[in-house]
Amino acid sequence: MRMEIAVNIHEPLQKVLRIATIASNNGFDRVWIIDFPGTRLSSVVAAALAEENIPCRLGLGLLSPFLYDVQQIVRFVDTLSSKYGDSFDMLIGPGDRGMLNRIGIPFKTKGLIERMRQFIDELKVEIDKRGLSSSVFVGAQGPKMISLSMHADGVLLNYTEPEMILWAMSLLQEASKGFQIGVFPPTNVSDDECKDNISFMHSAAVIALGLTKSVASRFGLLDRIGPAKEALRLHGGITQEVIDLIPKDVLARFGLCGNEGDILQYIERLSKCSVDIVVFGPPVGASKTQTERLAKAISDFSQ
Amino acid sequence: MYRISIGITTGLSADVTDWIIKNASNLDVNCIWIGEDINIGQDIYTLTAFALLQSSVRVGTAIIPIATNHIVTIARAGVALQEIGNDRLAIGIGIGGIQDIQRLGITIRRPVTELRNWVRILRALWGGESITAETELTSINNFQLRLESPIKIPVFLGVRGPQMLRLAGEIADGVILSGPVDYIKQAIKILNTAARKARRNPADIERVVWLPTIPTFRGGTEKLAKRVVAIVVADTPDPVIDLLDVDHDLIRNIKKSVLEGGPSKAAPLITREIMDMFAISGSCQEMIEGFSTLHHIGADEVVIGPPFIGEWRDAITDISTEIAGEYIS
Repeated sequence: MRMEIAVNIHEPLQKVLRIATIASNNGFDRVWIIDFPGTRLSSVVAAALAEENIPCRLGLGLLSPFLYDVQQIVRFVDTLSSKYGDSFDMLIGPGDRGMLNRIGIPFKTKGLIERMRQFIDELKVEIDKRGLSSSVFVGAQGPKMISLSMHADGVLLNYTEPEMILWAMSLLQEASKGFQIGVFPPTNVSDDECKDNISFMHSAAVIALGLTKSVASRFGLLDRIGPAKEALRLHGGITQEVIDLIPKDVLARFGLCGNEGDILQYIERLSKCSVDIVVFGPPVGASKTQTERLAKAISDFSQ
Repeated sequence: MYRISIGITTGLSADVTDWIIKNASNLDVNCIWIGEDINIGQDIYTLTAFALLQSSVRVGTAIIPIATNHIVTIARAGVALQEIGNDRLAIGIGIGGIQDIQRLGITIRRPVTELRNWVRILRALWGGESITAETELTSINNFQLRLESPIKIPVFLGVRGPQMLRLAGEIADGVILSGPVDYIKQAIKILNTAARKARRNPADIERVVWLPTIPTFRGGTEKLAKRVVAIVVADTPDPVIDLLDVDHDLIRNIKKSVLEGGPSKAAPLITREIMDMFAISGSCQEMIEGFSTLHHIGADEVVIGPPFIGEWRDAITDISTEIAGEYIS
């Protein structure tokens, strides 16, 4: 099982460099550079990391087809590869509807799956044309997007709990050989209570409230997240009030929070699910201390 | 005294751009300016990052077309590039080549207003403000970048028409001018007048002039130079041509010949006067005199740019060494 981490959350570039260095020196296989409308542009951050000779692969994402076209994404990766070697991958997904709307990009759900499929196919053709060995991953949560991801080289599932991961994996039985299945849990490595880390609670809430009706129903969550979903609709974004409306035990199913021992236990559980990749998502990659503690847990697992 | 810089574009091969970037510090140039050839070649943001990482000189975009780039992408790139460059960054924006954007089906009804709005929004986003704005090309609602503290990036405008030049005089930190020498002369006058009208000191606006530079030494020939100038003449919009004190029949013939038979057919029509008007060309000494002329009409900085032909690496080295030598003497 490969261990990976996501950086570029809100921390300054120098800190991103330090954290990526810690991660790559401690056995992480890939560093994902988060691409979100409010963060630094991932291709520029990738150049800065590559310049520091970070030895692991670098990933850019989540790159939304609503914000970038195929040519733009391929130009990012091709330009980086021509200067620093062929070690860049990308994560594709529709992105955050609310945030895209705020920057004037209409998020159209009608025809979304077809658009995504076409986008992935075109992206793969362009990558092949340029002779790049970059992998395309899809960030997925709903059943349609999970099935669609089989057009790509891999999927990063927005689930934390093994029960949900196994269900999602059951939708990928027809994936071709070599298809990579990863999970992307929001991660907080701390001795404090999870609720004390606002950033973690926010990340977990985004995923919990992003569940489709059918998936929420499958896991008995439809009624329990209903009030928060309604509040989200009214507020137009995830506020503390919205987070507070999600029952704590529900939120805990959508993120990984605990000390090194807890993380180790989680990795051990996950390793039994035949998952290929774990990408430890925000906020862990924004903190040097948390990244070091995460590295310790991973090292214990390897031994 | 004027500064020299080197201009590259995303459409050039990585071999060319990377050599220039890696050697810029040794060539005694002030800046590397990077232009985006719309949808062609390398990614402008990544290439700019590479230039900041691999050289110690200033790096600027000249320009990023607003017609084909999202404003938030420019703003986000600016934040990361500024951190990499430690105040060595300038962001140049412009509307984009008219023909290019028309080909893409993009129309901008009020380009001057649009560019003004973009400058305002970019500065506000870099200043850490939460923005709500509606313009022809963009719509932002209660959006803010994740910044530790506000940043300030000089904004340059790549502009041509009189209204655009007046806008630059009013709000820009710098301007990137290109076009025939007589036009540049008039453009700088308009710019200075607008700056004074806006109660600014015209000297506070950096004036960068980027003309095609075509050496006829180190493997470059006059024949080749004439072909390049023929294309430049053909691409120069009529309103700009109208401002020039040149033989307008000759210009019409050149444009017609390029259209009918390409630059080779038009090359014999290119006179020395036309060459000097539309490009910096000739021997090393002649080119330096050309740069000096641009400085005398008001340029603070002149750009050695494409086409890179013949033994262009040696030609660039010769020119930069010669200019540095003149300053020392």
